Amino acid sequence: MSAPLPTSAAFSALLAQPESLHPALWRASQLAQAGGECVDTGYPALSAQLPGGGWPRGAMVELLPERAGVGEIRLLRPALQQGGSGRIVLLQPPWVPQAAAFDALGLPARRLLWLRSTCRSDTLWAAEQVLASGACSALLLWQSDLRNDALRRLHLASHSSNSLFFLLRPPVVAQDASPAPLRLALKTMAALPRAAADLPLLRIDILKRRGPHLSHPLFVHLQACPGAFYRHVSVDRNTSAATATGSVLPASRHSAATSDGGQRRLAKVAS
Amino acid sequence: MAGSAGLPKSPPELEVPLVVLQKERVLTCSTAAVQAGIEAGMRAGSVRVLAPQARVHVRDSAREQEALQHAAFALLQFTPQVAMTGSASLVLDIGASLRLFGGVLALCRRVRACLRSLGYVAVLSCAPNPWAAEMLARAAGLGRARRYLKLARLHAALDHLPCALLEQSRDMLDWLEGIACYRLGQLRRLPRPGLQRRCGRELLPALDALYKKPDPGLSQAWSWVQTPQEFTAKRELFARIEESAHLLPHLQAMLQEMCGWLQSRHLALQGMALIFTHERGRLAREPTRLDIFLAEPNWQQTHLLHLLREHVGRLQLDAAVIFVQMQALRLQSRQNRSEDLFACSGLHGAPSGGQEAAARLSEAGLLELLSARLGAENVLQAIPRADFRPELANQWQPATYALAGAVRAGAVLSAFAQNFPRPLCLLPQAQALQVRAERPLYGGPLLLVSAAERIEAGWYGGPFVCRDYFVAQSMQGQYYWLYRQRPANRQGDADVQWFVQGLFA
Repeated sequence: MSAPLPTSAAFSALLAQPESLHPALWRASQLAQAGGECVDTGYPALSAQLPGGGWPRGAMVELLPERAGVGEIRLLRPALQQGGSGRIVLLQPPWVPQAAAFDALGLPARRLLWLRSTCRSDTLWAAEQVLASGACSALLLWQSDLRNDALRRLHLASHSSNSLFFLLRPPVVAQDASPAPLRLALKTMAALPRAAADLPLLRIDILKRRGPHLSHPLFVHLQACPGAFYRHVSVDRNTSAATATGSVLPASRHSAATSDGGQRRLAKVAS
Repeated sequence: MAGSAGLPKSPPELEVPLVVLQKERVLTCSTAAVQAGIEAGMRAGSVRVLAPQARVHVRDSAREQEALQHAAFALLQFTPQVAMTGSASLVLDIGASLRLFGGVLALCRRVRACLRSLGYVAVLSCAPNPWAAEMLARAAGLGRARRYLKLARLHAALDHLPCALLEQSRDMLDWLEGIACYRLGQLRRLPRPGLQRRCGRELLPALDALYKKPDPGLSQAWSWVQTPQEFTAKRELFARIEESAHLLPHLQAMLQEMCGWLQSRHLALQGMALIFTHERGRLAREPTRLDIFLAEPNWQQTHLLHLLREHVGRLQLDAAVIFVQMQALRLQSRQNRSEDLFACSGLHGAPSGGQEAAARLSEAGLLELLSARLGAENVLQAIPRADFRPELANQWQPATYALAGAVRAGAVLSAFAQNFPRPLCLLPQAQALQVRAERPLYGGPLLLVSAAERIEAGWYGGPFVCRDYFVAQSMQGQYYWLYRQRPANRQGDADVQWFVQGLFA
């Protein structure tokens, strides 16, 4: 018995679309298909550049913020809102989470679980238990010094779950190898004084993804922290200044509208 | 293969001379007592003359047996076959345990450590048959292990031992010395029929047993320790204990016993009860009871000890404890699974639960499991309070005790946070900032980008707070939450100070 050999035309058609052969195949110029389910990032410019069009579930996503407070939580807000109604586990954050602020951002305080630990092995154990239990919708882990074997084990543990898993590490580890299928470096744009007080701009460099290397950075506008406003800035300011750089406003118009409403209300109070 | 451990020996480092008497004569004494001139066989009166400060105990064979029993239970962790012999020694059949524990040396180290945590110093020896192992343990000096795994080397070693060690030859020692027979090797070369005629029937079988080849049938000749259906360890303490931390060594010893018992019955426990009986003072006190429950059945000593340490550390004792009891509760038969990925790293211990078991955990189960290892105070649920002071409004409580009602009260506050800036992250402690050219500095000059929000609260109780809050932007584009501490008296503004309290992540 002999399988019919594909003709050269059929063969080149197959080569043009290797993903039709197997989902794990892709050409170097293409974005890979997502292995599992993905959660929309809420930022179309970012989603378009990620395999599967969003944050993958059951995979380790590494975020390397330049320093604490560049807007990493606000970047994840749409995904955390849509990614299920289970707990959001904050494991070993370097600061004290303020529940009321999470609530105001649309992440109810009752969904938050703050875990602290005294040693690294406990932290890793807790991360694994959270991932393995499947009872939580997202896990955010802050850990600076991780050995390669620990990373690999976390990566394996994330496969067994259906939760979103974000690992936040300092930017210096960008040089080191990591098993995470998706790695992003986050930076704030050096702000012009009094210019970007309402909609902060975040620069995202995709360090690693299943797909071609992205040479240019992405810019996304984060939702302003509710109530963080400058009273002399006009309420209906034109925010299209950054569209030239290829960035897009957050997709959830609803939340933007509420925050605008809040600002308008406060502008009245302030004046 | 059999190991043997001789028990008990007094720890040599004690300062006060210790003397144990049997029938008014010194049976054994500590190093300090030897230095005072006391030696075995002396009369009790001489001890009182030589060392009046010495602590004299009369040998209590019932308590010796009890101690031996405790040790036997603890050693069940290493093999199911532990036997107590008449002469203060234990025999362990370790033939089947060698592979599991990584060889003779590793196993001996663990046995020694286990006995040390019980408070005993043991002499360990190993030999291919139990009789020889016991004989070697009795022959060896304190702390010097003798291990013979090959029969030929064992025989050579046995040949050199003095005849006096063989119990059955005690009555005939003088006669044996008379015919210049001092060692077991010489005894063995004597003509057997004559020896049997002169020394009785017991000597030859006992002598032959020492030189026996290893044989699986040997284990049937011993009466191995049988474990009871239920487990309760009781310990009378040597002193009144007033601090809970001092209870730990005793509890650790009892836990060793319990782990041995769990191991021998192949059980896992989901809870244990500790009952502390107090000294009876003027008023009779109820015993303090401490129940520890586990999210998942467990039997591993390191994990249980970790839990025990956490719980006992938090225990407040009202009165001195003189008696401790430990009970195993909620027993289940053990489910053997592959271990956790991270559990085996380091000495931290291996909590139970594989991937499959954990996957079935509900949220409540997960919280309980996390609280058990991390401590309940590290698994936190937000309980926002309606208070203007941010430090007090942002309350976190152990998730296992968190009340659903308290979360609703926080809803009021979050509506408030919609309208006023509240950062996601608070610094654990507000940091004072330097001011240059009337601008606060935090890794660079900060620019205030919001109107002031004045919080003046706490006059009705708690810390009084009088602050103006601002959102400030750094040159790198981050947002910080600052406040200006307003002076209590309104006269001078020399002591106006800036603090950073949070950041908008």
